[in-house]
Amino acid sequence: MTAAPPVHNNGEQEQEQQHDQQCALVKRAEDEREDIFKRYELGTDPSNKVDSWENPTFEIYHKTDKYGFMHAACLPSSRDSEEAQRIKIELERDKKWVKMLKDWPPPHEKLHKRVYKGIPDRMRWPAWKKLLNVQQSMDTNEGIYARMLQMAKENATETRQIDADVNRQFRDNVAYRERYSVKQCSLFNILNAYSVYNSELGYCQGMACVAGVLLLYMQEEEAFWALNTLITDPKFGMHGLFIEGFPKLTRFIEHHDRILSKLMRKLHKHFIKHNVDALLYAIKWFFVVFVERVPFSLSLRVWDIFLLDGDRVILAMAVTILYLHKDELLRLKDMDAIIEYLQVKLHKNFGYNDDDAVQALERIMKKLRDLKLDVPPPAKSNEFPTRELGVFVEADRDKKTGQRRDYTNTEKQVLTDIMSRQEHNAIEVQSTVSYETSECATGDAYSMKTYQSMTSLATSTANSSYSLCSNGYVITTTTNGPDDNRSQSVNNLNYAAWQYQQQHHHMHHDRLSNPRHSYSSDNSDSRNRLDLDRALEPLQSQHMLHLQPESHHHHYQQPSIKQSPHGTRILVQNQNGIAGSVAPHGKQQILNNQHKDELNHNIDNDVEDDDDALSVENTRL
Amino acid sequence: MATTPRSGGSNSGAAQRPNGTSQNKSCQFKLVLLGESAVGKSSLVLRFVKGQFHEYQESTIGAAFLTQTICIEDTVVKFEIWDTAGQERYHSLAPMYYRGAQAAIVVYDIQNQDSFQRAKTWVKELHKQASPNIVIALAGNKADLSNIRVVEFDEAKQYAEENGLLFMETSAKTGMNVNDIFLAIAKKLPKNDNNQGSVIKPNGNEPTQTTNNCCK
Repeated sequence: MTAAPPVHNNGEQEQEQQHDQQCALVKRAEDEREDIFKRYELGTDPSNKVDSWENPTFEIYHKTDKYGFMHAACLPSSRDSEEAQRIKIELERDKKWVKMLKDWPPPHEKLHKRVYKGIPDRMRWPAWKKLLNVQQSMDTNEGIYARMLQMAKENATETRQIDADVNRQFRDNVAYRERYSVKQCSLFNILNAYSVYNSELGYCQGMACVAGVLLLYMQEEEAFWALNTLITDPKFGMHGLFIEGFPKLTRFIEHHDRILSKLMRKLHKHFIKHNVDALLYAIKWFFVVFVERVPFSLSLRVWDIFLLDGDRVILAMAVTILYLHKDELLRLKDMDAIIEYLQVKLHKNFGYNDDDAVQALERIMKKLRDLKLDVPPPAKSNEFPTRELGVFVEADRDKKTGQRRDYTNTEKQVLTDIMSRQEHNAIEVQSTVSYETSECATGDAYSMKTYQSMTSLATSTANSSYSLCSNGYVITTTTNGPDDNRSQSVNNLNYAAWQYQQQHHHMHHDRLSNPRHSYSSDNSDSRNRLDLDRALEPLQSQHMLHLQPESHHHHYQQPSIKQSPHGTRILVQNQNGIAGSVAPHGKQQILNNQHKDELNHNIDNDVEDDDDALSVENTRL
Repeated sequence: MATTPRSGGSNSGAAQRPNGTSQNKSCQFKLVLLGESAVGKSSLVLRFVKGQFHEYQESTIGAAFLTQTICIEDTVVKFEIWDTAGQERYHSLAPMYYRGAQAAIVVYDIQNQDSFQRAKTWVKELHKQASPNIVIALAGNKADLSNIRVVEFDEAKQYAEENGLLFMETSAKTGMNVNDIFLAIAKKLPKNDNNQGSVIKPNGNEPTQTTNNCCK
């Protein structure tokens, strides 16, 4: 560290004092880091002082599932026939996977089929390593991990945050339950080492969860390189999610909104009406790929597919969740209940078994591909590392002492993007009158007009054209009519223009060097228009098949609603009841085969539930 | 005291009690929690809304949203609570949560000096960027660990007074002062129907239904 030259001028004593304070702060941060590292090096050694609150009591009534997660209630003591059958199948699959792993890489179709069926849990270690090129990374980077870890001990700036997060990550899992257990130490090491290896990214909350999952299946160094692949390989591109300003998050949420507005317009409007912004539920979904938001076993299945097919799986899974629970979500009439449903209930009980959920995901992926909505617009360069990895860059003083700094340009841009997206959504809802009379609006006493006045009440600073209510930004200026439609269509045109380029020029999108010029450019010329026709073609033809109102799509009778003792709403289904039902906690609703067929049939026919949306598109054309 | 929050604020189905006290005024306020990572923001909310405490509260990614309703005198107050992620990296999303908020609780950890400094930074930012009438409370959390405190009560109290903040030391673990700080905020918020700060939701379902009995 270089000391600043001494200041001799009179009156600048204060400056000097400030400098000393800064140095003291740096020193303190360094000492703290050293101290925390020491504790992890000691691990479970008895000389390592652990505060009493840091270790849980090992309650004997806790029961552990096959993934190491402990549950408050006892797990069933005997296996039912279905469980026994599943185990038998998994054993068979083990054998096939052992063979396939020896003969890597397998033909794509075979691999695809087997991954979608679910990688057998015992095979996840070797399979995930293959899918993430772990061995290759380790071979080409021999010794680097150890060096990074050493460097982290001397220079890491995120140690305190990592320590705080390791102390609460997966504490309900036996591997992480004990303070300074082997896995806790590995997690701590990986995250510190990675914060130095990819110094531009450092550490972001969420990474502990991702690395934590990897560590459940891998050794420390393997997990480090697996994490690196997830972060830096454009196929997964998590760098863009975790970097300051979260540029990829905005891009993905925009696309998620786009998909919703095209395929599940009613739900989309329902969400906007109740102030449920995608940002609310999607951050966690996207950042940790659905861990802790759906049952762990299902999130592993999604991870399997994510590791095979990359980040588009995240978007498809988001749509799948909303699709499978659409009916129930439409019945929830306030933001509170909707958020609780998405953040808590689905984690406890997804309402569909994993196989059915994954089948739905697969079909929705196909649907999105057919509609050319599976891939979001390309990334801007700020989503990828620009600094060379593994090269030491000394952090500046602010970073060392954890001082607040001004927003970066990316952060400013992202905030603007989010605001304009929310603004856009608000306009869209307010400009749609038909919603008032639609099925999902029934039972709501207040009209959009009231809603509008309500949101403007919430605003205190009336210095902008939009007002900010509850969860964000709601337009209060009444700007319905053709202008709004135009802005919507410009947005779509730009997206279509990008699609056009992708399809017709067979461009290999070098994501690093190709900012979204075609996407963001404002040229709504005839070529784009032509392509919009093309892009909507599949939508239109399907639209023709589904002119009946949405309520007729459902092939089951309207279920009656009963109040459960927990206050959870339960749908009492008739024999054919399927979608959107949620059983009370602890009681998984398993669909029988007949239901499965019907479910699949429904995804094909039902996913574009949105007749009025399409007709809007059509009239615009 | 009528301060005990009823559970079920986050579950609209939980309370379908008849015999309403529908003449009650009902207000709805947006409240945001800010503060450094791991100071106990989510734990405070969990204690207030559900009466629970998790030793290992998972770290908040992005933000969480919960509601709770309390009664003061003849007014039913529903808090829409936005619990934010504490890591500095998530700071850029904070304006989305605190804009339009009528109240904020800035939380620090009494055994962590840095978290107190960060709390001051948040207060400064709120004064500069949030709505001018925002009611800000400062919460020195983890008060159950006061034997190893680093931030002195008087120091924080003085700072709060100088800056016009409500101040309490709280413990999400024991529940100490948790309801009280929310109640103090509710008392300070303007509850006039025509007041700019308060919002009466026209459909009124939630506030009246979930709190019919809370004033008894």
